[in-house]
Amino acid sequence: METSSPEDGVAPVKVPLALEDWCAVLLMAALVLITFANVVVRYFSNQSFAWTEEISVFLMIVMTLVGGCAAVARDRHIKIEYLLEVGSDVRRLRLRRFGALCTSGFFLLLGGLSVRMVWDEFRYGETTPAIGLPSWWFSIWLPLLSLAIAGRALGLYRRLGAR
Amino acid sequence: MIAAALFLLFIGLMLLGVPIGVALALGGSLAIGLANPDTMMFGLLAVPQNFYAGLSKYPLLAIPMFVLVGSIFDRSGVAQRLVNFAVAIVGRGPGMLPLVAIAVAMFLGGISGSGPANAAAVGAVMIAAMNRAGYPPAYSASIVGAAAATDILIPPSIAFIVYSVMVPGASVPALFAAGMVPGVLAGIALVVPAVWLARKHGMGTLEAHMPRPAFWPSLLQAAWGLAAPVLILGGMRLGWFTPTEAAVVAVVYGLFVGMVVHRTIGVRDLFPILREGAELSAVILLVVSLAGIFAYALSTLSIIDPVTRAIVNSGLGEYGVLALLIVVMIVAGMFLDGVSIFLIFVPLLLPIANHYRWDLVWFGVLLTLKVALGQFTPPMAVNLMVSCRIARVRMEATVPWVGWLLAAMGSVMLLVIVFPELALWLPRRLGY
Amino acid sequence: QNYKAEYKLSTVVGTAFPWGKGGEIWAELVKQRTNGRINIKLYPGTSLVQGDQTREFTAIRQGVIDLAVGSTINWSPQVKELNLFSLPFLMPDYAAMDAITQGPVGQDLFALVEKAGVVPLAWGENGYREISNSKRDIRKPDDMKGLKIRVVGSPLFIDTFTALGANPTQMSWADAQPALASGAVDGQENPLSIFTAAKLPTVGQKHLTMWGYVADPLIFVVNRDVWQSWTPADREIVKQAAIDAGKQEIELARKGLAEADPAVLKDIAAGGVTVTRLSPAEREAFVAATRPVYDKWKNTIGTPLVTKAEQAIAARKK
Ligand code: NA
Ligand code: NA
Repeated sequence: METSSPEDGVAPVKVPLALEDWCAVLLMAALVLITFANVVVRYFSNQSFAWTEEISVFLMIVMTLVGGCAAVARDRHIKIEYLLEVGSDVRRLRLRRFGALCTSGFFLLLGGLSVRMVWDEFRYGETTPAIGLPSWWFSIWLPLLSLAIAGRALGLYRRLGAR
Repeated sequence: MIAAALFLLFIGLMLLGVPIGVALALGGSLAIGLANPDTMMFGLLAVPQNFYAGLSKYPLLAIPMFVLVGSIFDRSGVAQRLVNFAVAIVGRGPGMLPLVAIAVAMFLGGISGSGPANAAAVGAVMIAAMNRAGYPPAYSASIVGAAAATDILIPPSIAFIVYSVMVPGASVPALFAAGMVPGVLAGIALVVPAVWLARKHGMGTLEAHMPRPAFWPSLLQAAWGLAAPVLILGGMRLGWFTPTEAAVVAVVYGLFVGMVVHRTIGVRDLFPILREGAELSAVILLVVSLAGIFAYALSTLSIIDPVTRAIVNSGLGEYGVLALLIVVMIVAGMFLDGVSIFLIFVPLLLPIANHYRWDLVWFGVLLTLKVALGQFTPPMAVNLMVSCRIARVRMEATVPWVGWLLAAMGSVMLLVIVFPELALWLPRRLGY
Repeated sequence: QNYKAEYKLSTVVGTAFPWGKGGEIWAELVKQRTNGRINIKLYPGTSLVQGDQTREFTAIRQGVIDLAVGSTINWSPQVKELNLFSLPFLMPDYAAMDAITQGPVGQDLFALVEKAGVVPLAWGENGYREISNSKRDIRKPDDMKGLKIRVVGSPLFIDTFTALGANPTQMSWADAQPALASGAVDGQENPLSIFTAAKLPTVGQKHLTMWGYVADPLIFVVNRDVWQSWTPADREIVKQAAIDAGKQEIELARKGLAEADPAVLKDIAAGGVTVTRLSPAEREAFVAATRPVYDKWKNTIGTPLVTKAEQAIAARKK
């Protein structure tokens, strides 16, 4: 995975990245603990808590969005770097800003559309298939974190321009 | 028309350096909107639905776990001890350190699931050692980058997990088993040009006289690392755990070795390890979920069938089509990473593979071999980027060396095409 | 009229199965009878929502999918009353299932589906769900202890299998097949038509128990906006086609499975699978073990509806 180094002349973030980093770390730790606990419990009792898989999948989705947020701020998402590398500094900067703008645009769209999706799940009282909890408790994080990603992308756009 | 818009926007954005996931999603969203003018909200509710559904799959959880394994073993001190042990066996003569680098990369390949993680772990140890011994840094970077590419063939492998999620007919254990023989062959094939080039150019003579480490003590030191692939692969084989669980067992084992046995990981290191693992997994998983939007657009536009028909009726014949696919993938592989290649191409290639009744496990191994080659084919070569950064050389400097290594691994790909049994024998033997 | 060039029809399995065949027949009948005005394309594998079959219903409501033939089990997260069919040991035979779907209870359920935002047209059938696994023969609840069983759709299944001492895990059909092949999951429960067409014995499912604990009907549905975009005459055609396709599909699903014609079971046994049939006493042990789950869920689904169904079953013609 190519990752452009985060410090190459980009202004620092205003909202501290520690926010996302701590969430991502805790989510990752929880995923490890739940999965490992299942292995251990099954080893000793021949039983396990397969229903926790629904929770694990949910935590993984949230971790993806939160980690994605930090990765946007650090400009680390997978992309074709070729054109970014060959041009002048000005062109390189313009392209990176364009990428940030596109990212922000898409996640705004995703955020808006998923509000509608969550509203639908709430309105019709949908429940999750394994545990039977209200679906919107799980899906509400999609619009919220999409907007956070869009915000981080806009922040990157601004920081790339403000150096 | 709409299909053209989909591809133009996607390819254009991607070439302009927009994140690949975002390019896929924007292309897909535009096509969905154009194709459904009369549907509620232009049918765009398919965007969040497919984004969420693309991610909510339990088998995908193996990806963050194996990413974390890579990040932990990178710091566990295992690589250094494996290197000492290997040097104790083969010594430091000309061409021996590259041999050690390849062997250690293959061995770590039995623990880690991704090429760049492997390149980082092996590069951190081997490149400095090879410098001291008098190998040119560009040569060392080439060897490490190419050797690390065997990682995605030798199980465990994130590439195989993604392929399996996309192709329900190919299970993870079957793919893991199928990658074993080609992966080992690829590593052995790399040794030939590596040693030959070193001898021909008289590299690595500076430390040839230094004494070897003693055999038994270095074996003892390396034992913890040597046991890891046995635990991971053996545990899966014996049905103790699923791939996801195997990864989490490897996480715990790696932490134990790093924190308690080798003492290379402190409590304070846990935060950066988990953070790095979470962020890198998020980057991979976001492409997976955003590609779901692209896949929805692709399948509802009904363009896969005509394209498949056009290709199979083109008169190229089965091997001609296979050759064409390989050329296309080689070009794509110059610019794209492995996971993105799978996500973009597998939906298009699967109908072709089904038409010719190619074994889907064999096909997965072939695609993965192709991706492995791409990982060290400049200009866009994820493994070389890592190893060149460690060696402090520009990627262009590796060109004289990687050509030979590409040819060596490419010949293994030809072998797997001509003798599919190289991939299929082991999974059948193991009963998958 | 704003007719689309092509309408998307979603099913969980393809045309090798009665379920997918039912979708194909429906699409064919509609195309013929509307002279191609309504052109339907099949998307098996719930591929329009990345295989996530419990999301299918929502996607139909939201216009992501135009038509579907779907199982009551997969749609129970959206219409909780559809859990009725998943109450363990509610329906002893096909006549009991017909008494529900073809009677007033079926109409009540269609009204609920309609209220949840989707237009229901006809009933089909996936069939009685029998349990298989790779470890051992199941004759008594104790035999299920510790078996990891794949289920889908509803916490009711989690409750039922937990009550029997098994270890249920919820996953889509797309994920279930590799999980069975690799031994990550020990067993599954599905109609025999799925068991044979998906070649489950080849992935180690060698122990099959005929316990008929639940059966899932299929429902033929259309997205509401799509429905309203059609002329009344075309709506009538689509509905009648769904009814006709449903009848043919039920016939396919039941073929060879009735007591009188054990041809399918014979084929399965010939493939090296031990087929276990429960004696009435053995079956009673499973009924007793799952009774608390039945009572709990009768309440969740709605006591009046379940009581009505019980009465319809009691009054059925055998
Ligand atoms: Na590997
Ligand atoms: Na490349």
